[in-house]
Amino acid sequence: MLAESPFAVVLNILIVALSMGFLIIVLWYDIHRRVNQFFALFLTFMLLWNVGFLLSGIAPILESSTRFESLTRGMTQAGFVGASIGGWALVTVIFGVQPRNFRRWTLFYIVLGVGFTIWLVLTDNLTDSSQIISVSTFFFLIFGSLTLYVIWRYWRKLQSIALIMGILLFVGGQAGSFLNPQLGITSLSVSVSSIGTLMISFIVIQRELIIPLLERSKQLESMHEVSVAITSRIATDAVLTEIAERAAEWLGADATGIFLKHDNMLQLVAIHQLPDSSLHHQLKLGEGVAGLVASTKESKYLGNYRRDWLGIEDLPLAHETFGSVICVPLIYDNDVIGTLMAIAGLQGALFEKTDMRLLELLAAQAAVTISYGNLFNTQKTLTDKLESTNEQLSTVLRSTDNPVLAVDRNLNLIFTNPAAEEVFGLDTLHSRENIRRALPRAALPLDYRDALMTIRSRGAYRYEVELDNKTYLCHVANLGDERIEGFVAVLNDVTELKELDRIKSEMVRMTSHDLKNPLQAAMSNLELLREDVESIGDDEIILSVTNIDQQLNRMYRIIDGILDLERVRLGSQSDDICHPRQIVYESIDELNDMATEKGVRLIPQVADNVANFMGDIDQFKRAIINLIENAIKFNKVGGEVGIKTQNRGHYVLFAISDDGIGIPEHLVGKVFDRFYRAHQPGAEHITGTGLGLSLVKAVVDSHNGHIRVESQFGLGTTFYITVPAMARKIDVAS
Amino acid sequence: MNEKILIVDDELAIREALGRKLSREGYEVVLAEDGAAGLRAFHSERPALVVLDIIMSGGMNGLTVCRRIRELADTPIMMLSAQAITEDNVVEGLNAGADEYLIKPVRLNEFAARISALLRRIQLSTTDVEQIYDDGYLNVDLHRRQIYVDNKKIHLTPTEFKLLAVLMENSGRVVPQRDLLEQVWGREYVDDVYYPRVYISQLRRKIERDAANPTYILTEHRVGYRFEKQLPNSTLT
Repeated sequence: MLAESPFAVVLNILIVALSMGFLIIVLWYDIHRRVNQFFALFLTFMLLWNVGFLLSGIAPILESSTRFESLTRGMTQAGFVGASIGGWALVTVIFGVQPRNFRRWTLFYIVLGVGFTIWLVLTDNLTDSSQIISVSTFFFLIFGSLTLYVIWRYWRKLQSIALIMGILLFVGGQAGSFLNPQLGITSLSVSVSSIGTLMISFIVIQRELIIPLLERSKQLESMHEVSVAITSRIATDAVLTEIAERAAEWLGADATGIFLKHDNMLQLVAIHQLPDSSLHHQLKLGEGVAGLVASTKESKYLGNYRRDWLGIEDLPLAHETFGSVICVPLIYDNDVIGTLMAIAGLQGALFEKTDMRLLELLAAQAAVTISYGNLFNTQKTLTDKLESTNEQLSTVLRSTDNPVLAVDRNLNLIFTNPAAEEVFGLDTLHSRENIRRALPRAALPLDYRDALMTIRSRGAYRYEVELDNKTYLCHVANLGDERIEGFVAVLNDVTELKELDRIKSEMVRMTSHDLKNPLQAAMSNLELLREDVESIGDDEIILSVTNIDQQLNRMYRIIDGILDLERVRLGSQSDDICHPRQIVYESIDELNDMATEKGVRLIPQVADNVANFMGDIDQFKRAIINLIENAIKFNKVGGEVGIKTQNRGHYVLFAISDDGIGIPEHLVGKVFDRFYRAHQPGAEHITGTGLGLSLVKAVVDSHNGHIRVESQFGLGTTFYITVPAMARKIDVAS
Repeated sequence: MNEKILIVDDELAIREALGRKLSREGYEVVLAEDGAAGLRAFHSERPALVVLDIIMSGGMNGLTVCRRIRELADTPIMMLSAQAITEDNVVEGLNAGADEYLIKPVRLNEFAARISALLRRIQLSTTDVEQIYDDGYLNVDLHRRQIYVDNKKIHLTPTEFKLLAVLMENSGRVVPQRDLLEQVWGREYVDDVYYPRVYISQLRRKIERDAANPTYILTEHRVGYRFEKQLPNSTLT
């Protein structure tokens, strides 16, 4: 070897330093990666070769012993051989074409080549340098050619010109050292090899370290961006679309879509690069990849949609257009709220399994955003609704002429509207004051206990209030659903109504009376006439007289019905102790003949413990008789009429049911109106005044009771009457 | 028969129809068109029974005529009304002294039946029941129709008398309302439950020391009434 040029020496020193740097970086960064391991191996021998070469260069200057010289030559040769093998191994690994047990074989070759070289050095065969060189040449020829073969065979796979250039330079440099040692180009060839090594190093470092690092930071950044973008906003459709866009951008997908779950259906609600017509496309749970993912909660990766998915298409034409597909569930609080699907076109990039993990990451964020968004939207809608309802209510309450008051459980005022303040002369001083102090006695119910009990059992209580010559009807109802939190009272000014009602009653009564005298005259004279014509025996006249008589009779019954009603409404009631059993059985006694004639069975059902109540027994019996009579009249032949009485809380219940013609739904509310029956279909043939039920209602009302009717047209009708029971007698037997 | 019956009603058609019916039944009928004419006819004709309409145009209504007749005689009076609504109206009429109160419109046959029942009641009330009761405060001679309360002779209408007689004949026993109605008023009346109520209270006012706390005629709630004899020493003046 000749003394080297100073330039070559400096270059070599630089390369040695750089290589050592690379070696350290690679080993420190990740020693477990195969590429890194082979790269380190390669670099180590490169270093050995370079250092040996450098030392051999400076050996003559140091005038050292031949032993040192032979050591440096040994290092150089061993490095050369090792680098050849290492270069080949590295290239094979980078191209990813290594066969099985590649690592072991590599180790074997290195041990063989380097070991043989070292053995030669150690056995002091150095004088015959040609032998060493021939060994080097042997290894170089084999592994250099193998390296070139790999490049030639697989160069399309890598598409990195710089790497291939570097490898070629390295191999070329090594080859150069065999040309002719006497030409003095040994140092040049080492330099060329070293530059090639540097190029390889750069590429490897870039591929293995810098790009992954950059990618990771880019992912972090885009993850951050996505998070910020989607969590800082409410999940409107725009945000869903943005999530879809980001997901596409992130994975390099050709299209993305978000399905959300509604009532066991998946609906495509946001799309990116999918046809607009696909928006709102629906899938059942379990249908399509999206449906499968939603029902199994497992992410799904399909390398090729057409090949790997044989079920129902996620979207129309999916089999024709979808390539690689990833679908991940959107899960919030263990519930699937939808799925996120990334699609690569048939010609597009292939997804990898790692992409699925990325998409899952995004899906987690998106799920949270969507769920919160939904919650927020729901709450916002509710709040808005509540606010507007509140406002409406408040406006209604303030603008109404009806006084409205609300009190808490302790009867302290909590709300009054202007009308109430005016009527009761309240001002802000009275706010939260107890109504027993704030309101005049006349405005309060006579019997608090009764009022409370009624509110508890029926939810409402009504009473009349006389204030300043006006009559108000006061409706009291509960505040609060589950437990009573207070009461609200609404007063209606019924002064005029009452007066009108009074005038109406008066007029009806007067008219009815005024009709009675003419009726009496007509009926009496007709009876005389009938006696006269009966003796003559003219059938036609008798028929006419009979008809007139029937019509007069009907008129009479109507008048009588109206007067009955007035009697109940005006009349004084006697206060008897009424026994439900007696009422039921006496009523049935009166109607037995009628029922038998019509072929209807009367079935009484009286509970043993049924309580008594206070009232006018004759009036009440009349009411029950009217109901049973109706039930018989409106029944079919062979029908049944049930007359049931039993206790119902603090009330006595009477239920009179038939399986007759029933009442059409739209007439049920009108049965208690006077004369309603005139309009009831199917009942035209039934005689009666149509006043019976009005009378029943009047009687029940005058007993502080309630009447209700349930009817199914064609099936039957049941009337329910409840009246307040007398306090139960204490059992004296004990 | 041939009892004379006076009908007072301002409605010609009614008056005549009622009259014709009664004529056909064999009664002698006198008609009057208002209260004053009715009273005059009562004095001049001395009818066995008077039918009175309550509401009449002109100065005197039926109630007044009824009271005026009662001042003079026990003649049974049947009232007709088109105006009665509540029992109170009926009670008012009965209190004025009527024996019978019918609400218009009334059927002629029923009207005739009631007339005959009323006349029968009067005849029955003068029957042969021979009983004298005297506890020192109340003295009753059923046969002679003489009643003294606290040694003062009092006057009972025929119906009142009949009622007292039936109760005394059953003294100590409860007479159910229906029985009372049937025996005093007649079978046609068994449903007119307000008759006993009104007459009992009138009777009490006449014979009891304190009508509000009766000792002779006791009410059995919703069943009927009972006459209770008093011990002579319970008499107080």
